[in-house]
Amino acid sequence: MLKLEAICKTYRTTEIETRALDDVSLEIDAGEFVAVMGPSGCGKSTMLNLLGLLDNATSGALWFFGEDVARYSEDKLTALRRAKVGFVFQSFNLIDDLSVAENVEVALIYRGVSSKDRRRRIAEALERVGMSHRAKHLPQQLSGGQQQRVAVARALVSEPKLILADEPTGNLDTANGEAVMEMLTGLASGGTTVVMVTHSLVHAAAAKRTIKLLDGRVVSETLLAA
Amino acid sequence: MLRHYLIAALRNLARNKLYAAINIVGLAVGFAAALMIALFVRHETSYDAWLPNASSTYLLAMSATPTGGVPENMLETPADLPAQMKLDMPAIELIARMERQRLAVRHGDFEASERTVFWADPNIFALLQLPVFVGDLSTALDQPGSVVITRKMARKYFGKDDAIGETLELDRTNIVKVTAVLQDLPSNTNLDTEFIISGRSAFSDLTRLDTRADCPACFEDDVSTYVRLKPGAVIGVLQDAMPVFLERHKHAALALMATRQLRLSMSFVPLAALHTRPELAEYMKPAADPTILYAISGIGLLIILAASINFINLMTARAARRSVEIGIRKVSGARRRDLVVQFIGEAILYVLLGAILAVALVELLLPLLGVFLNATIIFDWWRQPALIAVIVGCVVVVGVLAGSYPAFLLSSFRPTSVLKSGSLSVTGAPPVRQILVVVQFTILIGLIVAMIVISHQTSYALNEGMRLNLDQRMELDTAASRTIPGSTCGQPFRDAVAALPGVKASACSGPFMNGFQDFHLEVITEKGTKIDAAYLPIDYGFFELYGLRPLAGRFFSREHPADAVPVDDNNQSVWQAPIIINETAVRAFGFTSAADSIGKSVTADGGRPGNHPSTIIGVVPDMALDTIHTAILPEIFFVDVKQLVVLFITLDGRNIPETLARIDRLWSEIGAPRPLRHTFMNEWVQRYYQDVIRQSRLVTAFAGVALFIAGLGLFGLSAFTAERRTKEIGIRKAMGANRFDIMKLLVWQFAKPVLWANLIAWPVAWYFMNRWLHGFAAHVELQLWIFAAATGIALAIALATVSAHAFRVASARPVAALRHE
Ligand SMILES: Nc1ncnc2c1ncn2[C@@H]1O[C@H](COP(=O)(O)OP(=O)(O)OP(=O)(O)O)[C@@H](O)[C@H]1O
Ligand SMILES: [Mg+2]
Repeated sequence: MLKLEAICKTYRTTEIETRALDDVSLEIDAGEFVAVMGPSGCGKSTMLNLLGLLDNATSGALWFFGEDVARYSEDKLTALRRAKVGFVFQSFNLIDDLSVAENVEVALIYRGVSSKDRRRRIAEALERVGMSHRAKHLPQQLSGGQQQRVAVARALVSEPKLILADEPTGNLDTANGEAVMEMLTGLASGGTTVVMVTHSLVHAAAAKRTIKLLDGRVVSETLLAA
Repeated sequence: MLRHYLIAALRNLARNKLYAAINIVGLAVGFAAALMIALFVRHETSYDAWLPNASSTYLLAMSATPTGGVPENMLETPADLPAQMKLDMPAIELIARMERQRLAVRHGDFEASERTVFWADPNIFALLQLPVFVGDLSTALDQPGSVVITRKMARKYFGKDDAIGETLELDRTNIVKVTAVLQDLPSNTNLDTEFIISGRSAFSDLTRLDTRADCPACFEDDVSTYVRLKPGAVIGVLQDAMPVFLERHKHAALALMATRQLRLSMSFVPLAALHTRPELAEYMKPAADPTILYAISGIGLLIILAASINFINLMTARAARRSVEIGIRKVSGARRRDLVVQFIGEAILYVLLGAILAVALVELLLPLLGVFLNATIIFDWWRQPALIAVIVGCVVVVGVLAGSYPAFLLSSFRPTSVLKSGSLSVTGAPPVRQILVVVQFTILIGLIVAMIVISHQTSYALNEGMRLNLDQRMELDTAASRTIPGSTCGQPFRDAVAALPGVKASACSGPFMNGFQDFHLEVITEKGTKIDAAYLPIDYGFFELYGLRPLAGRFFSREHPADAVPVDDNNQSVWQAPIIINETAVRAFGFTSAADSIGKSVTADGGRPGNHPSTIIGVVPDMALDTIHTAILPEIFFVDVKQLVVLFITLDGRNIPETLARIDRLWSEIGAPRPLRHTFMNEWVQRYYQDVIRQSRLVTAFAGVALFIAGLGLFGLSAFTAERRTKEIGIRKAMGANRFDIMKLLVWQFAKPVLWANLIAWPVAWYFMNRWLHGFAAHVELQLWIFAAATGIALAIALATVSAHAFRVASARPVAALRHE
């Protein structure tokens, strides 16, 4: 379903050229739960951005739900993203000026969901992450863990085929981390493809497969015996 | 400390060049506009105030009020009053008369018809202490036949400035000798005196007035009477003494007024106040309406407000950028007060830079402004400490006012919140910014509405408002040919002109349009109602010349010999011939329609013997015989060859200079005593509506300035917003928003305040423009499209400035936005 073929991603700034991904090839099947691990700066977020069509690769081919998107325009990428992807960002990325419910709503408005449906689905999503009682709060009024749960609610509210989670538990204590992991595991078992970046071996263990990156290369793929 | 703040402020300025530029340029343009307005207003309010002793110098005014009617004001008074007043009223130090007469002035081969020629009592210069270039003004007019001219006229006639001893010929008959030369007068004076001739001359009109036998209609030859009070005298006392004075001398004016059932009153108008008293009859130059001056000053303030709003908005919007600076300062012990002082100081620095740029801008644009407003506007700040003080004062006031909101907002941040997050959300600031943007656009939309309405009215006044086709129509003043025996409207001349190949049509009339349309009479209808009406003697073909058609009945025609006014035994015209009336008269005289009035009769100037009812033979459409400031009156037209003084012709538009030269030649061939005066009607109308044209230009310019400032502000604010909302935009794009969604988001954010602004701008603009329009008897209507157009323009400006940023941000890859954190 997702397939990277010899993907390279190079960042050019005025002085230096950083090769964030170097000849990466891998395949992720529908409904898989994949963990991505590796030291800071090895290219994990870069890979997730490519998978989520937020950025395009310098070279190589990316097959996204059967389409080669490497040369797609921003408008086409947007359309695909809208239809298929949900994000949980490393740094929450909630919009400061919007309330919790409105933040979750952002994932729905561009998908043309009617306002009645939106209200229902937002309520459900917040219920699932246990944030219903905070629907009217602003992000600054929440703790880090609560913000992350809202971010998860936003990712799952649109019922995407693919969820990309960049260190969803990185800023959380054990209990909150467990809660988020449980939600992701639940989604994966429900047939959603989940790609998650994590530094925690324990959380990685929840995934079927772990991909290890080092300096932009895939160094190992471990398949967890079910 | 100060040095430290100054460095911090300048660094901040240098680091944010775009914002600094937007702020300073906006303030500079706003200030420059306001400064020019101030200079213009100063010009308009300083008329003749610069004359020495202006505060104790007055012009005698007279008003005639019909019972229950509106007073008619006159600034010209009977010529015999001053001598008696000087004897009876000890409070008067000096009293002197001036009388304008249009004369042909000649020197050698050069001759021109001058309208700035005045006869004056020799002591006039003791009263009006005009600046002299050469000569002694205290004795200059003592000798009969002496004349004082301006440098401009000296150069015009003699090609040199010092023209003492030179001579000029008046109307090709009398010789006068130059005894002094005046400096050219500034434009802020009512005195357009360029030739001042001694009233002692035997051929002077003042002499004629002084030596004539008592006449019943004395103020057909009126003069301007200037009065200087003795120190300590009170003008009110003098004014109160006037009725008794007139009674005592049984002045002829009183009797004349009484027969016309008018109440006469006299007053003294301070010289410096003349220009701003439009209710007084037009004096030497058209007056300035103080309401308009207030309105224009108000616009100046609004423009400064608009520029200040840019400053406030950008300053608070950028506040987040300086949060760390503020946090560190606070942690290091800065009190809130210190920060407030720092930020207000910064604001003053910006405003000061803006003001300096503004002064330079005004210097640069000053000549243009003069041409634009048709006035010599002086900006002599280096010679006027008061002007500098005012500018500096404005800088401080605007700086403090514009700086205090950002200063209090910025200084209120808590150091912990600032330092913890590295940035801060300025809660409360966005709504204030939105409100300020709304205010700015309210000003903008209001000014655009004013601009459209005023230009609409101006074009109406110059075109349809006249209700006459003035194109290629020309007025020839043939009054001088009346001295030639047997000539009516210069009869032989008229026929010769009509025969010229370039002349399509010609017709004569009485004095018309040139501002002296005050031929009033009373009309008694068949039912016996008395109605005040205006009248105009005309010639056959007069209406046809202006392209008018009868609404009912017919126009005068030579085929009906009875159309002409007959003459009685004393060769006086008799009100008896058929008349044509206008639409307004149809209504005023109580007819149900134009057709209804045909064949009916009214009696003109009832009460005088010899007046019989006149039959109405035609109705002409309403047309402007005066400016559209005054309502169209019921009007009566009749054919009376004895009263025709003006010849109107229609040119075919080809070889105009040649045709004019031929007309001039014909004029001199009939032996006329002075050159022929000719004016294109369009030119004349332009001059008459100068005030409206000027207002239109001013408001258009200011609307342009406001447009520029508002556009600049939005540009800065949208750049900032695009930047501030980068993360949000990234998130939205990650969630599936496309370019269009993002554009919509950003553009809508700025379109909203524009739409809100209409809520205030429309009613306010409607109120003021409606009032303005009602200053005209004939005016265009306020139509919805004007308001819609204003909103459209404002919206277009908003969208144009915002879309550039919005498009850039909306087109970027989302990851770029998200990395921004
Ligand atoms: N926009 C960019 N411009 C330049 N270099 C970049 C950019 N984004 C990422 N990089 C570089 O690419 C490399 C990979 O970055 P990436 O964010 O993928 O790391 P990561 O594995 O997610 O690290 P972490 O665990 O710290 O989040 C890094 O060396 C980073 O400096
Ligand atoms: Mg990362």
